[in-house]
This record gives sequence, C-alpha cells and structure tokens, in this order.
Amino acid sequence: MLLDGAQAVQHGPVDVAALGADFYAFSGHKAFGPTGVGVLWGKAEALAALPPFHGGGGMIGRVGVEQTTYALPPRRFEAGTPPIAQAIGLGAALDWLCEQPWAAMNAHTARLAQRLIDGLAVLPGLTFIGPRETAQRLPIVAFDLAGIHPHDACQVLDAHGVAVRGGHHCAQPLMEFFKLQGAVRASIAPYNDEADIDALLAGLKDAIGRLR
Amino acid sequence: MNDDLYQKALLDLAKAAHGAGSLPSPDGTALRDSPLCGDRVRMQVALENGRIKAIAHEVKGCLLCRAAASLVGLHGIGLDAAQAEALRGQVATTLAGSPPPSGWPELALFEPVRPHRNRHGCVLLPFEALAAATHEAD
Repeated sequence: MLLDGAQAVQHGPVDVAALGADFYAFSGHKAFGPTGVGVLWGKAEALAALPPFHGGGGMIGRVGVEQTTYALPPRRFEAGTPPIAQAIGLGAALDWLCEQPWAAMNAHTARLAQRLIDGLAVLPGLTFIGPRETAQRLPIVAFDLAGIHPHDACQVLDAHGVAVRGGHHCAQPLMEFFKLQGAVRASIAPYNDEADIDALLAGLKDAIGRLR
Repeated sequence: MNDDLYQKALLDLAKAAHGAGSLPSPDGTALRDSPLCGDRVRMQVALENGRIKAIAHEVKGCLLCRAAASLVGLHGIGLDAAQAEALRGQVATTLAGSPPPSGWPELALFEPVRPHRNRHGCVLLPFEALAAATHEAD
C-alpha cells in the first residue's frame, strides 16, 4: 500500500511505521520546498522487492554481459545525475519545518480553517467536502459552489489575489462519487492570516454575484 | 484582465446554450476531454451534401467552454469538414491576437482570454470537437 502524504506531511510529524503503509510519498513543493523533487519512504523489504524503473549512473551493482545486478535501495531508484539543487533545497525546507513549533503552527492554521469554514457555511449553494469540524480535518478545505465551475471560481479569486486549486484534482473517480465536476480547494499554511481568509470569502461572494 | 473575462455578453452566450442537447441520428460524434482542467465536450453533427445541417453538444465544463460550445451551435450550421477544421485553427489564432474570422464576430468576446494561456484550451475544446465530429461524418 502506498500512501500519498502530499497534503499531510507539512502539517505535522508523520509516524510512517504507525501508519502501516508499505510506502509513503510526498512532493517537495507541498512542503515549502522546491519543485521537481520529492520523497518516497518505503519499508526496506518492500523497496528491495521493487525493480529499478530507470537506468543510469549510480544505480548498478555490477554490469556484465551475461548478468547485471543493481544497487540496493535507495540508490537503485536514483539513476543518473540527481536533482542536486532541488534535493538541497528540500532538505533545507524540511529542516525548517522540523524546527517549527508544530502545536502553535497547527493551532494557528486550525483557527484560520474554522474562520474559513464558518464563512463558507453561510454562502448559498455551497457544499463542503469532508467534515466541518477542524478537529477532524487538516486545514485544507475543499468545496463546490453550485452553478459555478471551479476554474471560473479560481479565476475570480485570482483577481482578488487569492490562489487556490480548482478542478478534478486528478481524482475523477472521486469527483464522480461526489457527483461533482470538480472542487475548489483552499490550503491554509502558517504564513496565512485572517485577511487572507477574508479575501477568499470576499472573492467567492463576488464570484457568486457575477457568475451564478 | 479577469474583470473583463466574464463580461455579461459572454455569460449570456453561455446561458443561451445554442445547440445544447443531442441528435437522434448523428452522422458524426466526437468526445473531447481536456486532461488539465477536466472539461468534456460531446459534439454531434448531421450533414447534408457534405455540410452541417444540425449540431448538438453536451458540455461539462467552465463558462468559457460552455460559451464557446454555444457559439458553435449558433454559427456552425453550413460548414463543411474542411471549414470546420480551418475554423479550429482560426480560433487559435484569434486567441493569439488575430481578428475573429468572418461570420464569427462573437469570438471577440474571448479577447480577454488571450493573456490567460491556461484557459485557451477551454475555448478551443468545442471547436476541436466540431472539427472531429464533422471529419467523422464526412
């Protein structure tokens, strides 16, 4: 089992052993690091069972005419010249994350998430995806606005200086399950504040007024 | 500017949904998806003497895509396969800054989309579906 931790890892320590997954992956840019780099953690026996997916320097054990062997993980999966600058950048970002006061940071983002959820709840035709209680969710709030396509909502929000993700999130089966074309997803980070939440809510009211 | 993107005339065009629906016996059908944004257009055409005599479309998409499909329904009747194919290219050049092709003045409504290259595909999708459906029918 592979668990996608891209939306979770930046919100607190992850005990990969307790999760019970064979693999845990996340992308660097979702953890305040550079693009083009990420992390795959795997149980040693699960990684050892995987063949290389890419050939290149540094991933071989010994190359022979009759037989080629491969390096042990993780080198087996790191063929060729690695993205050195990106890896160093991601390391710095993760070091920074690990030094943060998680409790205070998460209390701040949970407070902002609650402000957002409370503001969204009074908008007409809004459907939440997931629970409304911040204790039961990370500060990532996805929702649908009836009659307004997520990309149009995002475009209007962009004009308000608010960047959110909109669309099917590459999860079309999930959208079909919810009977939605897509969703708008607001991800709250420690650098956000109340003014950001209020700008998002004002932008949505503008979108409703203009597009519905 | 974003403020211009959703002007009333464009909203009205999308709302009018000219040609929305399906044909009982289409000569050509094309389904086109935009993998990036998830817009989906099913375009159907019926031909007579090689020219479109009826158009119907079903759109799951944003306002820009729905307005573009409505425009196809408004002016697409009478095109042949070569013209439908050429139209697709003309819409692309209109989005790049050229004047709209003759007979399609409403394409000017999409002028504010020009700087938003990530939205060009939303406008082009119905025209691509029209070209494909007409090619299949021809």
